[in-house]
Amino acid sequence: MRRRFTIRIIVRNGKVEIRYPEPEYMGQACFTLSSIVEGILRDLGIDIREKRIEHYPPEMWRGVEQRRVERRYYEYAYG
Amino acid sequence: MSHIYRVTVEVERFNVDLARECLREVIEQILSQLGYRVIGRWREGVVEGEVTLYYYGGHPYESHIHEYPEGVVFSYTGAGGARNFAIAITERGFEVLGDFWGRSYLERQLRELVRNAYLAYASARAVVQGIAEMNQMAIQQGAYGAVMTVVDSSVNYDRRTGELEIQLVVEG
Repeated sequence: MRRRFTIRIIVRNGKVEIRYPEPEYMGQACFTLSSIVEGILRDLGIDIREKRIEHYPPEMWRGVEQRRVERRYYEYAYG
Repeated sequence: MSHIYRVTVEVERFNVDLARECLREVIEQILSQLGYRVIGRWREGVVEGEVTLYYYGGHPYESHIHEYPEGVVFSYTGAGGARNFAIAITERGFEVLGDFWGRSYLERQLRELVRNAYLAYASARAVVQGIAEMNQMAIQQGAYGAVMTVVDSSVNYDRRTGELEIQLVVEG
């Protein structure tokens, strides 16, 4: 069954957060997409400065060089 | 020239094509929501509509606009009657041009808005492109059911906080 979910891009004071849905909606695809997006942004001259993950179980984020903190979504910040 | 304000977008490499799309797709939309009206555009000497700025008191000045390769002119009603400002694109960044005498909050708001809009638009485009690349990978692996589609998008700007949000509704 196809689902609908929202990816939110929020900018405050020159910093961007890209908030991906929780795993029940997007699952492992979130990691793949975030890596691709990071590469595209770097090509555009924008570097990721920080990554945060929450609500993703360890087996899903194993091998991904990211820091797990107490936040609701994947969160990126740069600017 | 104290009346001319420059906005620096804090990215290492400014992408002019991206800025052009951002101006059309996001900045114009937000400014329209805020009550500003597009009255003119220019690009490489080709002008559509009105591309003259006005000083406080209604005196026109044009010299600065024509120094820039392209941009959009917006109109608003200020203390001295109808006034306008322009958002120009250069090879290095955006510039906000206008007479903001007595309206410094407007200049600050525009500067922040333009910078944030560029970052938000670049990010949204990266997500959309990223989804397309993921779909390509899924199709190559025969997983057609994994294909995702962006079915809707919206732009929201909170004038009070300056926070800008782009929402992409994805189906998949």
